[in-house]
Amino acid sequence: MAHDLNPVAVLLVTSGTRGNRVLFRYPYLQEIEPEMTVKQATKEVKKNPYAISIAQNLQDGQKAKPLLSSFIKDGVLVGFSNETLANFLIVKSELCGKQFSVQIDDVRFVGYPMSLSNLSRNQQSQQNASRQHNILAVNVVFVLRANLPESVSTCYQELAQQLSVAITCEEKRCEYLTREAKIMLVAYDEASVTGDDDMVSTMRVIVHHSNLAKELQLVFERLVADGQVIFYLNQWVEINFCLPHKIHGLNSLGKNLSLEPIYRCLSYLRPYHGILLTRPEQELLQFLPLDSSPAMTRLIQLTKPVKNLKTLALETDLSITQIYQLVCHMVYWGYAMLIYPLCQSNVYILSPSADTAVNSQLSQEFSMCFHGLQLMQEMARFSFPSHMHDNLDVLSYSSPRLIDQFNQVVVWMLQHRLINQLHTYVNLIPARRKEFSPSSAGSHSNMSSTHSSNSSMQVIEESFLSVLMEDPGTITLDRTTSMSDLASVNSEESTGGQSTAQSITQYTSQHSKSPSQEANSEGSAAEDRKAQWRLQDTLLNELKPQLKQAIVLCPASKNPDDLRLFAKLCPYFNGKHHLEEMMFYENLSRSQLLALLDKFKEVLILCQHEDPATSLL
Amino acid sequence: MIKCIFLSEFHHTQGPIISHQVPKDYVPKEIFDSIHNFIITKSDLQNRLIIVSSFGLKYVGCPIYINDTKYKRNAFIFNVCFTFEEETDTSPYAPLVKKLANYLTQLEIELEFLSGSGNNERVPQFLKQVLHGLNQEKCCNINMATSCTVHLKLATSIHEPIAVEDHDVPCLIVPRDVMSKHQWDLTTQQVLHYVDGLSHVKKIAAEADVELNLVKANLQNLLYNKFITMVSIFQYSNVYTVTRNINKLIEDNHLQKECIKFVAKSDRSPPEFRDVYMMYCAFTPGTTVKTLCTRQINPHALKIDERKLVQFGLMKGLLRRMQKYPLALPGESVTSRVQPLLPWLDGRHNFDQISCETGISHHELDDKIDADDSIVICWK
Repeated sequence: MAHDLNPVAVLLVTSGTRGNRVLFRYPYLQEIEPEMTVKQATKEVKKNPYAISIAQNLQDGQKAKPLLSSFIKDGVLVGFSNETLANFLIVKSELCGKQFSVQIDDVRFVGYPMSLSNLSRNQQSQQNASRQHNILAVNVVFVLRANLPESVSTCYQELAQQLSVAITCEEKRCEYLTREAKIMLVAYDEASVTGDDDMVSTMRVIVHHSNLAKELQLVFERLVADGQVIFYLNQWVEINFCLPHKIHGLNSLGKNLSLEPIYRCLSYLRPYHGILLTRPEQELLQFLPLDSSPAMTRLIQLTKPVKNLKTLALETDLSITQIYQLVCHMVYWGYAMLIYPLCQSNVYILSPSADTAVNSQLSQEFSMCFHGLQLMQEMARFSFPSHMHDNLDVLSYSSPRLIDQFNQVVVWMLQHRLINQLHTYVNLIPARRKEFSPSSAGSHSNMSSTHSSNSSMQVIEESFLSVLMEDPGTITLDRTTSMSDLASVNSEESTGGQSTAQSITQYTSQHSKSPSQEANSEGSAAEDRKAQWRLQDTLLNELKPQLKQAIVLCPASKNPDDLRLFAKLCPYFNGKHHLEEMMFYENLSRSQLLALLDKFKEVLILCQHEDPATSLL
Repeated sequence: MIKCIFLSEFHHTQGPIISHQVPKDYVPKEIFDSIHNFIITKSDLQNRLIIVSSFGLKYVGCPIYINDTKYKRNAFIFNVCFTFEEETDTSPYAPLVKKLANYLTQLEIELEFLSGSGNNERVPQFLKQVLHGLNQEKCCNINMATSCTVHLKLATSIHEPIAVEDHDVPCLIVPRDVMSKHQWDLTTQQVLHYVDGLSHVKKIAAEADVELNLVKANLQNLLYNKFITMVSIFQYSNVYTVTRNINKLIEDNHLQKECIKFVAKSDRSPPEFRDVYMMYCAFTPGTTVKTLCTRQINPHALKIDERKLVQFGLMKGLLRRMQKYPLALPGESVTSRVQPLLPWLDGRHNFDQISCETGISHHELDDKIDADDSIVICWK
């Protein structure tokens, strides 16, 4: 359901001492006598459409149809005379200075009426007021299709507001509107004198002579062309507007049209992200207004797809918040997109919204940029998660130029949103204890070679718990608890029915596997173990007891360093933080992190999907 | 939610006024006076649906002119306006306003319901019934005269019905016992019986012994009214990938329970949540369901029904089907085996569509296309 985002028309309406007038209307089209006498039309209203239609009525019903036909014909506003428009687009003074929105059947009028009556005019015009046409209110109105979503019409409403306010401001400063209105009215008068009913030629004359009309025409044409409007009204007041829906090509995504994906992207902005300019640097710099912030220029010049925002902040000597603001601005305007900085370990996949049609315009553009390469083949390569270039490629294309070309291809595809980056997310979900129950021991004992048997695991678990249950004060006193004491505690706690002896042997066998404690004597071993449990307990303090148990069961938790790192990373294991984020914030290398994840793989589940910040999906 | 319904008319001496309003005094006179030109409009906007937003409220109305010499000004002008808060999406109400205006036109012409002097009690009573009916029951049926009952029903959504394809699989999203409470026509009842979330439309048509287009029309109706949803047909050769929404499964306890119940192989022994989650995470691009079930995870041992798991994932957006698009590289000649398929190799058709149109099975298609070097495959 692709929407047509373009406005149907732009109108300039004024009300003055000589009544309400539509001063300018673009685009204009000669109407082919849409006039239907009111009497004829009203007859049709009597028909109840739910009554059984009698043959006679059928003809009347068909007559009624043209009255209720669409107001949009071939994308141009039809069916409204200028008088009708002028009458309802000029509102009572109470509604001035507020957003204005009226929908009539399938067209919607959004505008911003401004009252000019309270402007302090100079003496001259005060005197002229009685003789001259004096403008009291003005409204710039965009005519839209009624089926456009709310967020689009809100954007147009903002533009209408900018224009109305700017016109009012210019009127105050140099009577811009009065001057322009005079030109337009002269054109109308001339047309009526010559008896020429042809609105098209009148409008053409107006556009030719009036600067304001030219400006409104430009606004309309820019909106249709690319959705960006930047100019100086009367070479004085800056108007800048963009329709993000159009810039980001959201209507091609085929989803419901809202700005939500863009705002969501921006809300996930983090210092490890990078930006990718969507246009060449020089083009962007030219596009910036004269009074743009020098910080913006510096940012654009220094941006490289391999740098993250933190680096950029250091290089541009700006604070990270400032960088955020600039980046949000650039992303909203479609000058840049968020990416994770390019690196060899990034994994990309074809975007579901990519257009795979064989002879698409995109593929021709691609062939223009990269000679000898076909877009389809590149897309096929990213059908499966792939790195920027495979290691094989590196071997077969030894020349660095080709590698560089591959990188360029990836950048190009990212710019056109053909590929998305996949990230790995981690979730901490332990299996339930039930899994370790003796009944299923057979299936698990051979699975985990580090554990001698499942029953031993249970014992450790329970002894661990028993220590935790003890009062901390007693533990400090109890430093000399012997092995047997502990074992007896175990047996009391244990409900599995294992004999004390068995648990002791398993216990010691387990203990001997931990290299860090091999040097310790038998007596202090238990003490160390307790210390370790206490460490585990404090490290994993935040977690639920169930999770704690499961983590302690992982063999790697015996290694304090591993456990410490694991505990530090625990907050990230909720499926919302990808590996790159953990690496960035915790200053880890990828191999370190992967090794840790592998050690605790029993309680972790990895999942791959797109980063919400870098994908519009 | 309709905040207020008011009847506005053009009084022969006072001009535009609000003659009846439920609840009373919701729209003050000052506000009405500033917007009345959109409610009692000039005659050139009569019979048009007009929506005005101002002062934080939204007014949906349709001005009606009834020309007759019996009226003081030779015409009776009225408008029944629904009032909403400004943020409300009024699109479902728009047809109702027009329909109500038509009913009232009819009642006025036949019975002078609005202009007659004896109806000062009945009109607000009627408006109140409409307001309550639409807000609470989402519909109302009010008997106004011997031959006129006002039927109004709020549609859940207004859009073009989505086309139903032969290879789509309908899934109930409403419990079956709730479904059976509705009075469906005989064909729908028959078709519903075969909607099990596994059979595709063509199969249902064959099993129910109903003509295919009738089945499609029936299902389209159910789909429009949000009783069913369509998922893609399940095959072991399909590739699915997990989406970002998978986090919902962790956070939403209710969804978790629903999921475990849905994907269980038998009701008595539900699977572990961890296993279900792990299985969802194992769906990655390039892994077919077959590979997944044979090499990585054994769904039977985990008490998971993999078909239902996929179905649930698709319904809730946890999984996304990856479609296979074969593309013939331009400028290269294809082998004679693939020649007849060439029109479908333009990158706009996926395997499902090609199979459905040509009647060639996935397996055969795979064989033919794999053998040809001039064809590349994109998954997306």
